[in-house]
Amino acid sequence: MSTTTGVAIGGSFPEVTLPTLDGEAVSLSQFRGKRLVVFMWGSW
Amino acid sequence: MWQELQQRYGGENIQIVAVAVDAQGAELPRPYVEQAGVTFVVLLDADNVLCRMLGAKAIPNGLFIDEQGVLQYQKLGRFDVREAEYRTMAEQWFGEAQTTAAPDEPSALEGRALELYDQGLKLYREGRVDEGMALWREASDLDQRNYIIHKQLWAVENPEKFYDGPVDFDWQREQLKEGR
Repeated sequence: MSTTTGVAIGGSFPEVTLPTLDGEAVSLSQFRGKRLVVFMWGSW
Repeated sequence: MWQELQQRYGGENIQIVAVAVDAQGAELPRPYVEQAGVTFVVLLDADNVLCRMLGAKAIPNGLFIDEQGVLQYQKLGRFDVREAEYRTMAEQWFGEAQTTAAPDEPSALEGRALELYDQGLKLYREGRVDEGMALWREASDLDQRNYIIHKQLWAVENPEKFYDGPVDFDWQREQLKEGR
């Protein structure tokens, strides 16, 4: 497995696809053309 | 808090995406999401894909990604929108999106469609219904996204869908789907 060095500010965000809570796959690139705030949290 | 931002700024140009980093699956974040009544996108990252990609070792994290898919800001760990600092940042980020996304000037085709629509309306009001509608159809073909032209045509062609009791919105959706 490759080590991750993070995503550079000012660089294209890599394509990532994740499921919704109901299992529908959503890619971040689907929101191209919009300003996104992605926030990541855990319920633990 | 995020829900409030989504409601205030939400629309064509901005999107809030919440990612639940829960290895145990959807059942842990679900009650939180349902209780908060969120209307933004909520994704599940059970395999820690995003944290790994970012090199993040803690949450909560915040990412600002612009219209071109470019990462403009990230805060790894302790990104809490209840704190004024981050809330202000998010508001500014979305606020800029709204000011830069002024509506486009109508294209030549859209402008022509509106002209035809106006001419058609004039004819229609003079009782030259068929001629007016012919112009509306032409206008509708030029600018198929113009819902006002669509609706006007439908209302004249199918008055029973509009004027007999409640407006039949299901029927309108059918028409759109079939490209009429």
